[in-house]
Amino acid sequence: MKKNPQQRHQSLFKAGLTPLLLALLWAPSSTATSASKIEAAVASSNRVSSLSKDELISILTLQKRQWANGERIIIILPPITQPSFSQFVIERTGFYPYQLKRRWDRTRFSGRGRAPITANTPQETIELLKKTPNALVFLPADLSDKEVKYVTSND
Amino acid sequence: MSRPMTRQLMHTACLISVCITSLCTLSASASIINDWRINGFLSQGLSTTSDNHYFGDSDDRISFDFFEAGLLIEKDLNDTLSLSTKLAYRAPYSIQRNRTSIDHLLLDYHALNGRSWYVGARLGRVKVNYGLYNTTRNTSYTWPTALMNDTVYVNKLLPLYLSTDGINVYGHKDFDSTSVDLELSTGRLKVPGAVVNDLFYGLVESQDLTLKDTLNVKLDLSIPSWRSRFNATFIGFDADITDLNSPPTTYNWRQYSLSWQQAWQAWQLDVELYQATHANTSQGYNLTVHRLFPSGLDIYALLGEYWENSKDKQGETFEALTGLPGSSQFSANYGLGFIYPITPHWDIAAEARYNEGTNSLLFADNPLQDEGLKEHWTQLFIRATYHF
Repeated sequence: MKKNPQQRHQSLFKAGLTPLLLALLWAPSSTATSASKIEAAVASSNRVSSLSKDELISILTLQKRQWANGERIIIILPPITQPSFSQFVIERTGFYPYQLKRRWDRTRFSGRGRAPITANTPQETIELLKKTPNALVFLPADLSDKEVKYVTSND
Repeated sequence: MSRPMTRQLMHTACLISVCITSLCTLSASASIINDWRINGFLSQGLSTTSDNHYFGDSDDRISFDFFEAGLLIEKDLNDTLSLSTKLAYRAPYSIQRNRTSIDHLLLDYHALNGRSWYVGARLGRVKVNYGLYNTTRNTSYTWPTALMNDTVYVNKLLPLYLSTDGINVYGHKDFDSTSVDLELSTGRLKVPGAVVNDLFYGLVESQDLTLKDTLNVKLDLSIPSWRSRFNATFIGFDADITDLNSPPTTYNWRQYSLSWQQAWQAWQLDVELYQATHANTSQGYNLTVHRLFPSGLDIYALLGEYWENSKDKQGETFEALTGLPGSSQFSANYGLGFIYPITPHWDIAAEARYNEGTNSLLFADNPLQDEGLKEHWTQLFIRATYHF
């Protein structure tokens, strides 16, 4: 039987609602765990020795933009899909990484701040840190490098 | 050349230029710290409605008119000075009409800072920082929902007042458990006549409009440990409008909004109330509840209402005076949607809505405001975005 326009639209509407409901049912509710824990770090020459939870949140939400000495904070992240980084962000800030990413995009595309830079490997992160001593980076906690100083506190 | 063909060509040109830029910057992370940074996005939407038109000819059809592309270019000149600009192309959805525009072009001078505070200024074309989720409501893929809340889409402010050519002063202060941000912008802006004409249902002459004495003040209070944000915004401007049916008048817009955003690990609540005074006093609110997942999936339900005249919420007086339907004076929408990052570069978003009232419909999409519009209607919108 041929559908009238109203029925046709109702079908389209239902076709749109179905994936929404399926997505709700299918969506995973917890993050995967990973063997290698991530910690926040700065260059060993940086005067910062620890970061409180609130300071970390302020930096990652792009509200705090400079270190106390006036240098611009450059945030260098592993890929946000990396499970160990996701776990770190959730535990230390209470945000999911994509929540932060949406905030970064809004800030960046309005000309009100710079979004973090992504480094694909710890080696790449360390190379970037050597070139930019004012960076805040995120590295595996078991990595030992004299150029790197871990700064996260658990308050 | 016909308009659809021109549009097709513009879309293709945008697609090619953004793809080339994307390819050129794919492996650039190691070199961008002190160099130019280039980012961009392409967004294509699909809109269908049971009645009325939204983002093109969508009544019982699928409209692909929603298309948007943007290119962001930034450079840090030193620790305190940076340059940023964004070019945007918007296809003829709603009121933006094939417009390529400079959304912002500014020099940001981070003037002074201490251990827990900083102040600075931005000079040039600065985007209006309205409401809580903004900073960039006028970039579709950064909207808090797949479709922007009707009450914001419709309130005529957003397309009229995207940016201001002038100065923006900002400050930030950390306290023990809170932080406060304050921004103040002032300047002027020229709005194209086509946009003005659409906003006022073709009742004003299609000539460029200059917004004068613009003022945008935004106060933001954050409590990081609670993951709460409170926000108050004021926007005001004056403009001389030539109405076809009455003598030229100065249009004074004053708008106040209050917002609250509360995040939990897996949930987020956004509440926004606002009131605008112009010819009438308009009021509206948005309420959005998000369920968030570690994968980046964001499923939300929303409720929004808007009244063009708070003293005539159902439009009865308006109908008696003008003969036009009273349903054009209010809008209520109930929606369910999701945004999902398929990869770090691809997002898909979808939203289904039930609507009451036609105030959210724009003249550009629905030229016959006085006939044929249905008070109760549904819509489905799907959007895919590539960004880099």
